[in-house]
Amino acid sequence: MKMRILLSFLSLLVFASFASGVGTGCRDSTRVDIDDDEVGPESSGPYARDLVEVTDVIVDKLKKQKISENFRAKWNDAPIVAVIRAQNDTRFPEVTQIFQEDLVTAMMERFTREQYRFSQRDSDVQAAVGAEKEAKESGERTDRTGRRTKLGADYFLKAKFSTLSMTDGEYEDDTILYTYELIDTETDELIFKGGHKIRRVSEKSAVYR
Amino acid sequence: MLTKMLRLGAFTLLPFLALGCQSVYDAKAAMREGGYQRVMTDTMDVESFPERDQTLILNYRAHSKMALGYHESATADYLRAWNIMNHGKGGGVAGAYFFSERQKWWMGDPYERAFNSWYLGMLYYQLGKPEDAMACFRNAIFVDTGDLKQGEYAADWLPAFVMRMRCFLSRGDSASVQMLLDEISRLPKEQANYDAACPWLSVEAQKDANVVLMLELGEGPFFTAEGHHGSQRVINQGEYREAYAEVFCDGQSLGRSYKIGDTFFQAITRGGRVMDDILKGKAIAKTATIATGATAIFVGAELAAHGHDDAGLITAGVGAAVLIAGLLMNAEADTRGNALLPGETHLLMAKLPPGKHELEVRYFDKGGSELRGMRQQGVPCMVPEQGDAALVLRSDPRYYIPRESSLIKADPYAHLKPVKSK
Repeated sequence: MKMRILLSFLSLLVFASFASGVGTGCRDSTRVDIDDDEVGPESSGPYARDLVEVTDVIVDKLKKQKISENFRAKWNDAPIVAVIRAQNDTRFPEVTQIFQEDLVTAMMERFTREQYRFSQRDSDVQAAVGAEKEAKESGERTDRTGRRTKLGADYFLKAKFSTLSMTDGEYEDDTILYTYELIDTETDELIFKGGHKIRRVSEKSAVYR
Repeated sequence: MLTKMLRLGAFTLLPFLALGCQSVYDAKAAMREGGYQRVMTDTMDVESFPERDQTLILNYRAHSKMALGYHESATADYLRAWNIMNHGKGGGVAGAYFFSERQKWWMGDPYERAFNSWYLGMLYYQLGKPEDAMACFRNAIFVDTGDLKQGEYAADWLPAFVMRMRCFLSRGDSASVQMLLDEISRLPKEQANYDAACPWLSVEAQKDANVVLMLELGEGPFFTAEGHHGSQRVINQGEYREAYAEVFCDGQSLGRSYKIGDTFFQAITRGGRVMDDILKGKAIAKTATIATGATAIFVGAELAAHGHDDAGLITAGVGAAVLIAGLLMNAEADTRGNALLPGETHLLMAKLPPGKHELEVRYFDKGGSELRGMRQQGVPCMVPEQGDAALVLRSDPRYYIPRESSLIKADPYAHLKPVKSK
């Protein structure tokens, strides 16, 4: 009887020693594919839907103020708009690119070419266009008369993202202000300016530290 | 009956044990064996690592890609890690209360998060995306700031401040540069943190320079688990000899570098962790539980030996359960940390004529003797007509600054992928 208990006790110790290694065990994956911004990780910072909201507001402003109609009445042509790369003063990268692409795409979808024309001012495109023009002028490539001049913008559409970020270690609190303005390139007149404010608070697990 | 109970318990827990576990990737050993190339190859398949370690692995992979010149690919990895470290809620916290702290997803200490943001910012800056860079440098400062109302630590790691100044200058915003300089001037002049004699902490010096060299020296801090059941996380300083660098361009000295960031100082000045108290409690509980369980088994065995079989079995059974719980409880501190970070970050700024230049970087120890094995020659530096050239360079001859744009955009694993037949 004693021997059996002793053996049991020893096997228990051996088992428990091995079992203590479980302390560094793997956990099952909890990763899920995110198709929708709504089901993404809850955090502070801008969301894709915030950018869509701002885009909607800008498009509405252009419509309400009849920018295109007034311009056409004066010049009998659609105004040319250049979207200037947004200034990002938040702590979140990648916002400007997404916003700019989204804004230009949305505007081109909602307005016809008779209402607005858009000038592509991305630096890589500018470099490619410049090289193409040089090749045409040198006779290396064919050209068509009257298509040699790059579009001069009538309006600059400019945006800026600012943020007030605070943390107490447990929560991160970001108030993001999206401002945008339409500027007349001839007179630097501010045609309109607006802002859109969004506040986000996210909880951080204190146990991470 | 006792044997039956044991068998049942063992069979129940066997699958749990059989799962096994990979230990965390040893980046330092990989660096010794095959340098950045080895790290990049080892970390190619991030998904093959436990999910809790993947953010750390992503940082390693990004770092090795950056060091080999694959800047676009490194940016993608740093951004992926950035998203987890800044937007993710992590996981494995509940398990960490009882089992090892390593159950938690690695999210990095404040200085590791700051480095992640800063490297991402430097890559954006070099790739001509100053707005994204600006956001990263701002975030590097944000994540390195505690609850100021509670008197916690404020950001005092200068590389993020300096690069933010460069972004403001690219917008022509000198007033904001001055605002940042004012913030720096309010920091304690801790020699352990940065060299206050650094000559580029003025608006004029910032405006005058068109070359920004961020020189990374030595090895960063590392963690060990010490004390009662390894429950105390100790921060150790990395060992290295290099103390400063001197940079030459076309045979002319551009001057010496000045320390603007000390990683060990950052690591030890970010306050205690909530987890430290939990681990302390776990260590005490572990000892008490093991002692209680062992005593109960002994008493149970004695009772059984004296003819009290039932009472003995019950006591021993309860004791066994308590003992197992005690042994399973893991109070060891998490020693995971980004082992590829440098010990110090130095700054050297200069003004060079626009165009292509080649730099030579010499590293010196505290006594002023050159460490010849570290000398780097032919470091390409392309100074633009407008703006500046900003480089990150490590005191490791294997660190490569790309001179060809094709490498910057290249897929580092392209040669390992099978070619599709048409």
